[in-house]
Amino acid sequence: MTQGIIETWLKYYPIFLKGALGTLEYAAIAVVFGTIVGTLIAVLHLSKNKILSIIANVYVTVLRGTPLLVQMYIAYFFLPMALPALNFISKEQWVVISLILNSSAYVSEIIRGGILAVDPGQTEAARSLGMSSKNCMIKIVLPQAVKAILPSLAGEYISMIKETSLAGTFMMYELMYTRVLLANKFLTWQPLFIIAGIYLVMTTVLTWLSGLLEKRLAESD
Amino acid sequence: MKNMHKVLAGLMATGLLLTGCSTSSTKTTGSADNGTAATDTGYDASWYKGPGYDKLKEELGKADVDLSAADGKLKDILKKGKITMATSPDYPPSEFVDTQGNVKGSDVLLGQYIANSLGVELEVETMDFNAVLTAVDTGKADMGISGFGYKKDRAEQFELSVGYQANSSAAHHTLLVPADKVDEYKSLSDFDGKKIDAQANSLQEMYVNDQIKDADLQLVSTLDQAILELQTGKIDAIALDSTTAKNYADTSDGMFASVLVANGVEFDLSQYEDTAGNVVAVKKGETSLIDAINTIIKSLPTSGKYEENLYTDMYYAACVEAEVSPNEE
Repeated sequence: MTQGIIETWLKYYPIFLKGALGTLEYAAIAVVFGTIVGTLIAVLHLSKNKILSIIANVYVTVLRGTPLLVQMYIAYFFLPMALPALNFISKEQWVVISLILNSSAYVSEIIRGGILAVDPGQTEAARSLGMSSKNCMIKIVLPQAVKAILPSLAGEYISMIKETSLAGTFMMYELMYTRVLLANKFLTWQPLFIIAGIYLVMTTVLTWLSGLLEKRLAESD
Repeated sequence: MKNMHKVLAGLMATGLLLTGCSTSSTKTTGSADNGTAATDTGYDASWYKGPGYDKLKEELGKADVDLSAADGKLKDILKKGKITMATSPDYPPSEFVDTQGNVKGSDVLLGQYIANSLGVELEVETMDFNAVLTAVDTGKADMGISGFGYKKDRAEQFELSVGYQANSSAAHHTLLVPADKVDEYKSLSDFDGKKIDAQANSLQEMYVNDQIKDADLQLVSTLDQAILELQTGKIDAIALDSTTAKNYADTSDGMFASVLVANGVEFDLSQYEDTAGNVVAVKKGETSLIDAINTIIKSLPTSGKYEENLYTDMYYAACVEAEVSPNEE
């Protein structure tokens, strides 16, 4: 059995590597843009305006409370039906949008948590010095929140690496999709072990790097 | 803190760069680059008399269709200049992907022929098998060509075309079993009460339900799930069309066998109307479109470039491209 796996690897490793690269790319896009959207949502969530806060809350609850695959199906099949103006968006773009929105919900909670973790004394001091609420957030609170946010953000990227495997259902070229490619060569189980192995390598390396990042950030304490 | 700004700016820039890279690498439109020469895999293509997949694609030509009374979706297609076809590329040689991710297959060639005949471009969308039907139903794809067989409940939900087929042997369906058990199955009744896998919503699911008493039928979304279950002894057999069964048996190093090849056991298709081959599915109510497609399909049996039936040309070319053997029963 191990021989079958080794043979498959030696013959098709370019395909697996291309798939792994696709996974890393999709996960990166999801988290980078998810962070941008997530920051906005976090700010809305923390807003004094009740309506904005509730909108953000619903957004986060729905996107974290439903499976990503369901979100992708609904986005690709039904959103263009509800809003025909969106018909120009391709299948690949819908899948990436779903990844970004899903990530943004998780990231917004990470950011919100990071902001709330900053000593309220900081805000008090800043406001009593006459700083506006906006400046206080941007210049005092956010920079300190980043320290709590970054390690969790790294964890979100690692999570996303595994979540992107759903893009393979829509025939997009990432690691899980290589299983479809090789099933066409009637290779059914050998690719599975290789795929699992590659995911494991990616998540382990990234977890280790994230640990290094955390140590560096802790140095400034 | 200046460093944080730089890091975040760097991350965003990388993200934008990556978007650029990814959107170009996700394009799966068929390109001329296939590089899947049969040379290094020991595939014997000596039986093949045609010009090869890519050449045939260019030579397909078109059928004569009267489009003057075009209505509904057909009218939109002609206006857009493009027809979208949905397919599930897990079924060589009808539809499959090569190692670059390019979609190919005899069904893809058929889609091209339909597009040529309508005078429009073909766009192929790939997704899993059940998503193909959803896509046609919701209008995301204009037509679904994915090895569909005629099923009564399917015909109630969609407009189905007349049948197209490679050769008479494409309409055989049988079961794949472990090679060491193949002699236990000398007729269909030997499968009574056995654990059998079939692809969800496939023809074979219907055949097992209709023709095998007390079968413990389990549904899978993709065939490789079924293969794994058969390999690990979780099930007794997989219901498949005979070509796919033969190909899995041949490439399994003696692990699996087709009961059709070994003992002539197959499903009885005579009780089903209009079972001759596969059909194209379009959205219910789009009669103008399905009429045009039917006209095109009816032109196949006499439009062949190398064989008499043009679809046979497509089927053979796809077999060579996918490196599978054609079912020559």
